[in-house]
Amino acid sequence: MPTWKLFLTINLLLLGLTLAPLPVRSDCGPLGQPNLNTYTFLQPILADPSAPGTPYFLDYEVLYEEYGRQSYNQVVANVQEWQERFCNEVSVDDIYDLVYKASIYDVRELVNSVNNRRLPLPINLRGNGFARYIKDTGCDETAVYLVFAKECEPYVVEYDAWELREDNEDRMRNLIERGRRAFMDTESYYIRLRYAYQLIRLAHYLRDYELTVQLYDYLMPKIDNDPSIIEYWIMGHYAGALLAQGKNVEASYLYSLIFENSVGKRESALQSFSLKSEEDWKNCLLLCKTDEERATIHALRAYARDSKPLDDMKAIYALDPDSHHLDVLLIKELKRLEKNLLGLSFNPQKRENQSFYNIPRPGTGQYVISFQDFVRRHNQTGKPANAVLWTMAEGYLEAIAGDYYAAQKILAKAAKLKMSDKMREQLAAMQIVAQVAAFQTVNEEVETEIARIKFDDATYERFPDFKRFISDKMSQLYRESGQEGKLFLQQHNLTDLKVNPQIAVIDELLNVANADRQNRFERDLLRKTDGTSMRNDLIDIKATYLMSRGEIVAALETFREIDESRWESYGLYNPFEAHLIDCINCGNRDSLTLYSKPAIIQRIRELEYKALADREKGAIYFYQIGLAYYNMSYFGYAWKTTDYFRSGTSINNRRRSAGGVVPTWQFDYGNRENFNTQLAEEYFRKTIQLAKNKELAATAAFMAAKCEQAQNYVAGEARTYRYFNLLLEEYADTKFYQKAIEECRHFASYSAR
Amino acid sequence: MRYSSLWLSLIFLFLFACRQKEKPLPAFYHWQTQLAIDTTQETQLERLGVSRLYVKFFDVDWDAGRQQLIPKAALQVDTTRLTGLEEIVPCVYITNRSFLEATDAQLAQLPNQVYRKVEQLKQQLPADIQIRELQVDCDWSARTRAAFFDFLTEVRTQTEALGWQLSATIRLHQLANPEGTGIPPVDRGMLMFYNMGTLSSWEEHNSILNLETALPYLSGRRATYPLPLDMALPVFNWGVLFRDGRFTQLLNNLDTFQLRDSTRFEKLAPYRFRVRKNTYLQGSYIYQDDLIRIETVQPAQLAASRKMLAPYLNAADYVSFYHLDASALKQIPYADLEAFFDD
Repeated sequence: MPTWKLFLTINLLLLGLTLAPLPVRSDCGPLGQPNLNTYTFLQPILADPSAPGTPYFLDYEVLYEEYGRQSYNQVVANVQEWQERFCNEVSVDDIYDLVYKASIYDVRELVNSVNNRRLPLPINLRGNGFARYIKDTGCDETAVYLVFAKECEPYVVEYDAWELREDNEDRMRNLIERGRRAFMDTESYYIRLRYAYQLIRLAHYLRDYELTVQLYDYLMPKIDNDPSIIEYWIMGHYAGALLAQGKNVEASYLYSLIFENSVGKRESALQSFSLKSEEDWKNCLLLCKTDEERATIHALRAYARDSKPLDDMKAIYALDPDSHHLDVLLIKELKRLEKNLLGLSFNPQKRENQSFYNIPRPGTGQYVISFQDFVRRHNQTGKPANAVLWTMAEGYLEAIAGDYYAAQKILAKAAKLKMSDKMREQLAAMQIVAQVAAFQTVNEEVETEIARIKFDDATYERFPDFKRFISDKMSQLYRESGQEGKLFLQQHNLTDLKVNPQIAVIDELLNVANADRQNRFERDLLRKTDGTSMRNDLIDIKATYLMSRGEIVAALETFREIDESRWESYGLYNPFEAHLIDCINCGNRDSLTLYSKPAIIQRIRELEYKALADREKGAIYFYQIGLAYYNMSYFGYAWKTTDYFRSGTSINNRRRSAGGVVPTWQFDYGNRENFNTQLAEEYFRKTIQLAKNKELAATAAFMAAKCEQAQNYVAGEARTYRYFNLLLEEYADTKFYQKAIEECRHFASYSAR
Repeated sequence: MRYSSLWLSLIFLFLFACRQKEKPLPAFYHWQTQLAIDTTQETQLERLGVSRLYVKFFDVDWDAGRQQLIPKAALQVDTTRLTGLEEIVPCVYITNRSFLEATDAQLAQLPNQVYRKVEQLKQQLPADIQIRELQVDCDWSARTRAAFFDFLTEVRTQTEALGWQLSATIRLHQLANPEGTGIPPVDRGMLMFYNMGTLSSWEEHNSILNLETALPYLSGRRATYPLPLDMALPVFNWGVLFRDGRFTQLLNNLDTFQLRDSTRFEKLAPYRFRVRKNTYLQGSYIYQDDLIRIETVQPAQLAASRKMLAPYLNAADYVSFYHLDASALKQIPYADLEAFFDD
């Protein structure tokens, strides 16, 4: 890349970073508003970047950055035109340096050097090929003009809007007068054109609109020049003056010409185009000299934000069937319709999209039919210049409208056309969309095909929305076929399952995991992020759930489906330790033996067996079992044995819970908490009944009281004090009683009543 | 003699102390870039005895391209027909995003920049027009409150030095919840009693002045806002355009008369229309099946507002109508505006 271009690019990129459309932040929006969730597979490759509308109306930032930045485009076009006018004898780098970077002092020295051949080039321009060329060829008119342009520069560049602009009117009028004389003294029509530009621009910036028009009318007929970009720059200032004089129709016509023809002034022309009434519209069309010009007027109206461009597209088609505006408008509409309608039947966020964003817009379903009709007719009768785009669009519109069979057929037809690799990639994406959306039922063949798309088709990775699109579609199919397990994993992950285990989901997934053969899709579905299968995790979740319900035999049997050597990898705990005061996050003492979950069950069963076998010592065994169940509950320090996720706020939200499942914004299925302390209470009660040792009985009574309180609290009932009363009435003489009074303020205050 | 002078003094003191507060004076807002009073406006101002005009001098907004705060739409003044006015209150509208996006350093400069810009632009006014107040309009939010209030504090040091008062616009929700939204550090507030409904909802009856919406903000409250308040009331109309069920744009100064062409517009209900065919309206191209709701202020609504605002009006120095526009003023007969100030 030439250095001047690099310099300009870097500067404009930096400027671009600051000018880039930034997301509008608002602190007024409702909290928790969901994102708009639609699917898009249309990429910038569809568009012809050189078409005037492409950078501005397709919402592709990359195309705007590359092709739409007026300031950049203007400089590039100007430098290139200087180069052409000097027969490509000098480099664009040197032209850029002399025109945009050199000081007025150096350019004045250049004039002297041109006029006096003995004088060398100014030192700063000695390496500049353009300056050398001007000197060697004696182009004093060019050099003198460059000085004049540098003199005009301070009056036409942006200024600090906070400051009062200096009143330069006299100086600007003097410059116009001098420039007018220089114009007349100049022989080169091209240099005359450039003088005209400087003068008309100065007059426009002076807001002397009459003078602007006068200068235009006076100077332009005196120039017999080859077509130049400068003519459109001049036209822009002339149109601006007309607009200021209220001649918006004439101005808009000129702006349409500028938009169509001048890459360097396109963006500002677009912003200034302004027709306000039916009369304006008709008169502007009357000013047009060709159907192409009329088509552009229609296009500029159709490009407007929130437009419904179909009627204008039809008009453009009638005027100029090959108009590039039709292609741009087609892509614009495709994008809009895709956003509104694609995958509507299976998009799980459909309701939120409707509520928060009014997507799909009412009437879009009807509109797409009319739009399809237009595209179809254009393809059948018009033979569009860009047949690839229009055929692909016709096919994709069928997919958007929900006729996936027709979509596949037309897209297959498009695939036979000659196109670039990038375009073929875009077509492949459309074909996948139509193929996936067309699936009616789910079976092994469908799953295998989905796996093929995900793993073997490079298109899948190149279009980020495929992940969600396919997942949502498969969810629909699994929902319809009642496959809860696979459905769950389309939208959720193992963590969601752990937080509130869904037994039907787990069982179905275990069936898949335990099957003799799994297809590629199923293997992927059951694959964890570390690459291993989630089978053992599913077993652990199920068995842990059963443990939380006190179904320890079933839980142990379930755990046994995991190889015993792997048991410890699902956590080590000891719930058998007594804690007078609950401490949720206190672990075990280091010296304590830790057990895997199945080992805890085995230990409980062993204690139960011992208790039944030895009635003398039964009380202590029952007490230990009671401790284990209490500690493994929501209220105990060993809650992790029977739960994966415990929220401190769950107890506050318990009234909204059903069956221990507390609704939470974090997890769709809610959070199942193990609030169950009945089982623990039952074992503490047995302990009290059997205990011959009053200290043990008192301790068990105290623990039973904690169970009682927890149940009262969870149920939202008034507190009962059966076990506190028992302590008061039967065990007030025990050491434990004293200890409880000292350590438990609640009990102390109750006893003091 | 000594006793008689004492009595006289007491009588004067009594009369002075018991004199009722004078009723508020009428004023207008001027919100366009070109301040050029036409003859209709001049007549209206004269007949109502308007001596004070609130004039928007410029907007301040965040320019994402330049990454800086910039003044926009600076006032241009045609001094013809300004001679009847005694006083102009320069108003500066600052977008809320200005306080969200600007850096601390940029915000630190802003008070001085605003002050200097006001000074520059006021040079266009005739010398005999006085300036005694500067008004800042910003719909601040919880996130921008601190920055906005800091800004006001700084500006106030400059207005105080000039002997001007500093005022800020107050929205209804800010009036109703001064503890929550904060009280701007200014000398006066201007309660904006308009734009109170849900503009973007087709079901909205009239977002400009919806007394049902306003009622909860005022009912059961005594006029106890911690700042002296003037009142701003609406005198304008517009069309609210909906396309495909979504608010699309405002059509300024639109009234039902302009929609009388039944080949283009179908009346669905009072103030509600459907566009029959694609057409231009108020400079915008609109499409078949677009819906338009006309919002306007009826004299009866102004009268009802007067009742509702009575406790505040009694304390206000000025009631300013938004805004001075010939076509908008046609909607409200002069007598109804005048009646607003009758006892």
